[in-house]
Amino acid sequence: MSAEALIVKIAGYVVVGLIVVLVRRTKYTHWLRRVAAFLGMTLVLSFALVFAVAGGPIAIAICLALLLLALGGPMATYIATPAGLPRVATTLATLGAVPYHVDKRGIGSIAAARTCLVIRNRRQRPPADELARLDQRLAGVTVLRPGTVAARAFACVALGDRELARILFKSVGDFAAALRTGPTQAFAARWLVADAASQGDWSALRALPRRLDTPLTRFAAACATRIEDGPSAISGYALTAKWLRASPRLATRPLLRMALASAEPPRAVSQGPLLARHVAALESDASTSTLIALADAWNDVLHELAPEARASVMASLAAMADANPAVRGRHPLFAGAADLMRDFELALSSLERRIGDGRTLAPLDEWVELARLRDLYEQLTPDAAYRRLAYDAVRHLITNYAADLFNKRKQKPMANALFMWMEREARVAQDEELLKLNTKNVACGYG
Amino acid sequence: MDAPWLEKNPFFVLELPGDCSAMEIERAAQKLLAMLRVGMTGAKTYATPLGVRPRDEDAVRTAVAALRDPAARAVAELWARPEVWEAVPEAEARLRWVDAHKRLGTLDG
Repeated sequence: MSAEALIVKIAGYVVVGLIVVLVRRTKYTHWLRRVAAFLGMTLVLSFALVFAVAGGPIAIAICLALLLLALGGPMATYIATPAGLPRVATTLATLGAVPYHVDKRGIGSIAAARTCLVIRNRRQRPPADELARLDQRLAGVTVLRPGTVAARAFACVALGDRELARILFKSVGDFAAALRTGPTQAFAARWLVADAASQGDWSALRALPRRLDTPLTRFAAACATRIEDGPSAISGYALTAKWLRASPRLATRPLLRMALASAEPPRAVSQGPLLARHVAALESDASTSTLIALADAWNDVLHELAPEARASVMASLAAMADANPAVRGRHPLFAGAADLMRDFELALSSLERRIGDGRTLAPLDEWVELARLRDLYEQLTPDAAYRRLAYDAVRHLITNYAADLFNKRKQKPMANALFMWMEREARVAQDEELLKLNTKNVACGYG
Repeated sequence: MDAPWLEKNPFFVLELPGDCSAMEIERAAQKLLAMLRVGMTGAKTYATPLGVRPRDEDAVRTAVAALRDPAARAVAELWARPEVWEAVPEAEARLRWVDAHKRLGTLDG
């Protein structure tokens, strides 16, 4: 092959590579990006294969490099991770993430964390060495992006800390959509859907798109709505349409079938002995009006008791509500909201003290603290009064803290996530001043 | 359901109705203690809306002491009322997507 021909072919590779990178960086809608990426990838692969067959060793080497770039992600997911090879999986996933442009390190870390899970499943105990290496990798992150958060969440699953894993996976959805590329969002959504659906926690599934909005979480939430409220809540056609948009379709067919087979729920909450109604309310996601009617019925029974005896019964009822966060806090009878508010205030004052003392944490630890705070906040939001109280407590603190993260520590993705949170809450609270400020802050971007 | 106010309700422990007198409480307690001392099988358990629970001398003494406190007795009376606890439904087997983790390839579970 002549030198000119080789140069022309290499130039061809560069052009096609640029097409792929540009396609990945577009701001088109989700499905358009996927179609364009698929076409770009097909071009790269066909070009590489034709060239490798026709060319010499250099062509074969370039072809292999392109293959790694094009198929690194799937190779990590389907070969290195199941084989339990964390380093290979990390390298392949990182290479495969190059066309995604952002968060290559995070995507590599996710592959490493998932491989740790595979090893844990085999050994029946957390793989200490691999997790320690992963910890080092995560601690070395300079700018925190959602891939690192998802990797930490997988590490929590491997260590058995499912509560923190849940909080962190949900917090992946708090970052800007363009940062949650490729496997980051997909793995987070799949784990959260599987976690809630496998426990039959349909209320949690219904609330999921509020934090992590993907076609899969929207479909799962629609299924949960139909399972809890019956076919009158959402038609079979609408559900099937959502299923068609949500990948992976084959894997989620059992959930679709389960939802399509659901019947109208019995209205057990409105009648019957009090405690039975109370338990039924806790078992279901009862409406606020049902809870109020139930509370009135309790009041009729409780009014004949002395105040201290009444308080004791109320405490017992509130303790029962601890089992159901969806019911908790929607009426004083289900008084968990007061406990939540106390936990929220504790978390907030601890953050306030730390900021006041000028103490900073590693980016990931910083995010863990914020994600816990936000999780408590989101649990309070079903109650309008508590939401307002919580918003008043965080509005300036979080906005100023995010501004510091953006300007001084250059943690722009994290700061952007906080600005978007405050923007949404300011809109709900009709707080024009902070809405304007945070809209401007969000527009500053994340890169 | 974890419900000590039902499982350890003094009226259930002593097998008495909520409107019984102080004298009836003392008599029932003495009778149960005597039965427990001689190891009678019937005295070793008592029925609650949540199922049968074990009974020992301590449980009987605690129940009597609780009923001497008017406020505690009022609470126990409330929880012992049939219209409050009757027909407590067994927690229905929740509909679950059992193999969700496997299907969605989360590598968990």
